[in-house]
Amino acid sequence: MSGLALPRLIGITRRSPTLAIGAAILLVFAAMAIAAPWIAPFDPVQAQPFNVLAAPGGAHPFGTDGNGMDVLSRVIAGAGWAFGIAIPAVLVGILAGVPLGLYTGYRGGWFDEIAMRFFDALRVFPSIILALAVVAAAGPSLFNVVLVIGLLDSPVFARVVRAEVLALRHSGFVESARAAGNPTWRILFVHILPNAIQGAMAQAAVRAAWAVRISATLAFLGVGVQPPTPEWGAMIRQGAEYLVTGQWWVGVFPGLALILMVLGLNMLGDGLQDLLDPRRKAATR
Amino acid sequence: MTAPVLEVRSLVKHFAAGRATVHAVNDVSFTLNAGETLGLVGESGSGKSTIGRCVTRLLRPTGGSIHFLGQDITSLSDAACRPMRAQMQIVFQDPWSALNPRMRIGDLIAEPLLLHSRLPATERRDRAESLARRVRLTTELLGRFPAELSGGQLQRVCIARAIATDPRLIVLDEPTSSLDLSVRAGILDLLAELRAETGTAMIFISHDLGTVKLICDRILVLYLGAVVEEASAATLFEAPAHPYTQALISAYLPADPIAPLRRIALEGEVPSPINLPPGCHFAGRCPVALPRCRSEAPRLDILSPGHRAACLRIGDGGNRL
Amino acid sequence: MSLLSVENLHTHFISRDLDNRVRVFRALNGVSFTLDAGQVLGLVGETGAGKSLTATSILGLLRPPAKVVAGQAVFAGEDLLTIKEGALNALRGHDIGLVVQSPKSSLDPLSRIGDQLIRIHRAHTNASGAEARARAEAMLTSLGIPGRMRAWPHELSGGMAQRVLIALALMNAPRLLIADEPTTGLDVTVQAQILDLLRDLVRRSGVAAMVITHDLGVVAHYCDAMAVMYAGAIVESGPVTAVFARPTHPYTVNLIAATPQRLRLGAARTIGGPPPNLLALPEGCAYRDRCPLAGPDCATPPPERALADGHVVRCHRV
Repeated sequence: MSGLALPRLIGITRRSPTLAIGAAILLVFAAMAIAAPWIAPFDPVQAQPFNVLAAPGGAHPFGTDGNGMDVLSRVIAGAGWAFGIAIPAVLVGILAGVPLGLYTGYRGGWFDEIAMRFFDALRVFPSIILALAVVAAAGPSLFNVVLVIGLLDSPVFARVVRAEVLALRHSGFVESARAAGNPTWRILFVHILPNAIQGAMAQAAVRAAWAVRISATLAFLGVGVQPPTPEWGAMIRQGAEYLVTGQWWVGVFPGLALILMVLGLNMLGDGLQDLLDPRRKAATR
Repeated sequence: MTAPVLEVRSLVKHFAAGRATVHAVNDVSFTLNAGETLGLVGESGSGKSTIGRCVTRLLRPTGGSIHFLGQDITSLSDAACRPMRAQMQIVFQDPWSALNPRMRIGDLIAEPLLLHSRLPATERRDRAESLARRVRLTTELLGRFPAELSGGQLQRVCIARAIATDPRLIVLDEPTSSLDLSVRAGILDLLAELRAETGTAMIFISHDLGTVKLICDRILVLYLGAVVEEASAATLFEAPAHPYTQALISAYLPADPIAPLRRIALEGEVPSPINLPPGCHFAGRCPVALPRCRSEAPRLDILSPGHRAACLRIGDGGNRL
Repeated sequence: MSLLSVENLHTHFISRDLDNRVRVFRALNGVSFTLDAGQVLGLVGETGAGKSLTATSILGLLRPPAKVVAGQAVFAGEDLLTIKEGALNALRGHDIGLVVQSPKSSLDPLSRIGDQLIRIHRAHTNASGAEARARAEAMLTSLGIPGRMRAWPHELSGGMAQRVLIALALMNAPRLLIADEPTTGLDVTVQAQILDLLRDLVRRSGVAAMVITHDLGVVAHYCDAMAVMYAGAIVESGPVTAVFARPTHPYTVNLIAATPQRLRLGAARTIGGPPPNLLALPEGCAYRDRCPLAGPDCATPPPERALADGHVVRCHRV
């Protein structure tokens, strides 16, 4: 099978260049996150009081920040924080949203009606304000940030899964599963879920991008992860203060990293959606 | 005399369609004995599939009663129906959509055993293999997914699932209609063989008279959710009494150019089951309808033992076309 | 001379798989037949045999990745496969009428029935609006649905929609009518009405018709000649009575034996093996892998053997 890996990779790249580019960007960030202790030239939280706000160049290619910490090392370490928040947050979103979507879609009726109206309400309300309020009230711990982002994400997963379930609910195999004597939980989790999860999986990457963005925003507003943790949002907040005084590198480099990762995740999500779209699949058969 | 496998009395099923009501099944009664194959024949809107789904309790009847093996199952809850499903199975028309695309064939065949028996996994696998062989599938297919099989093979998988728990009743809802002719023959052959081996009672739902004639002992002809005629297969084709049955049989095209055709042209199409006409539902298309057919509903009258028909013209002999 | 003469038609689907390898799906592999004026030809075969594709190939209605790679289809002296798109457009709908499988989705949902009939007539002729209207009304009457000029497609039942499609196809008095599964999905009593109607119209106007169907009953009673397709080629053809009386190709023999009239349960001689894989057809006879009579010589292309009066079969075992 390994002999086929390369042509298959080329085939996927040809079919969806978006997916390939997104995946490549994320692979670079993942490698950065994992290898951070070895590739970062300095300790990301080591302050050098005599070398604050050094311009990029020499030993500090991205310069140093107001505490004299190496910006490059902090940007590299920030990749780990971004993944560390986004991945658990998306998992929380999936674990809460998918079963809800399954059940509401299959049951229908008033329960479905109420759940969907509630989700609509959540969607119109600006999620950043909601997140801000909750984190401010519960305290700005990493755990709270992950939980809030995940729960705010869950309606999205619930909706995607519910839409699939509505289409599958009356399909032949669900009826024949019922006729065979399957209990409801088995129909939901064994028969419907594996056929309804694709859309949610493609959503996951897009929602991870959102999680990265919102956690950075929370940190930027000062209610998320606190400095001097090398979190991109916190770094941008710090950098913003120096932007007016001309030390652009403190905020711009973490900003670029953030943009690039969000872009990569979005491209991966779009590409996956294209690739998993059954209509597209049928057309290429 | 043992109790019948299935006893359906005055079955009624309505569906809501917006504000209107679809009268899918209107007062249908029949009895099915062990080992017997009953055919339900009719065109679209005749309610034949709805009857199949009510009998297997995939739908809850609006009225009437259904007794299965002596037990009243008319209004059992879904959960209460579950243990009964080991005794009663259904095979659907479209084998491509009837199997979970993400389960392997072996797991699909073994699923009823998982649900209804306490057999350990290894034994279930052995049973799945022997079931596969019984429906003439090679056991190497057990590891595949439904998308890798042909329509005929998939329908055999559905049949293997249906016989896995040795049910007393199998409802076959147009099991061969979406299959090619050559594949169809093999499936019919298999069903006949399984019936001979197991003595399972079957309800065979179809719009194809040729197939029904071949496999059924007794046939119910349905029109707009009501039985218009009931007879043994031989009687029905030799001496159809109801004008609709006669027209239906005459419209059938045997695959033989020298077989004589006796065309009885029917006007129009089956009316909507939302606004059922009063009197005999067939009166609007019937070539021999009298004015009173449009107001007076005919009863199913016994013509000879086992032969019943619902037509007011039978009394005066004017039912022959 | 025949009205339509199709010679050695090959149509392939050419695509790339996930591994980026070129896949050639050989859907039609040398289809040849002729159709005379006034004749009704039944093209029969099972799913994937290439019946509908034969029609769409001839009419130039293929969409990528399907492509005619060889052959010719001469209609009234012109090869439809090489003719210019404009000239083909003029033929389609005027000299050649097509009745497709799904009547409901083939009608323009936003125009009234009468307007659609008038439109197709005026697109191909110089008829005035009043002339076209009169013709449309006469056409609907002859199809048994008079007074439906102002009806919308969604108001029609399946049987009525199929009649309207036939009216559309016959509006310009075509010389060739191609009907692709014209009664599939209709109730049997309605099917009988449509088929009787279609046959009467064909007889009266002397138009040649090609009926594509999987129903041997339709072929037996409504066609003069039949051609049996298997894996994108015609394996047997001839007058309907001759083929049914003396089916000769092993595939035809099995097909006819599988009809409910001939089928004996418990002794069914069913067609064994999987359906043909059009991505990798065997060399020689495509039916070889499933044929009970296959021998080593079947690895070469089967010769065309003529039996009595136009009955032709392509098989080594004749």
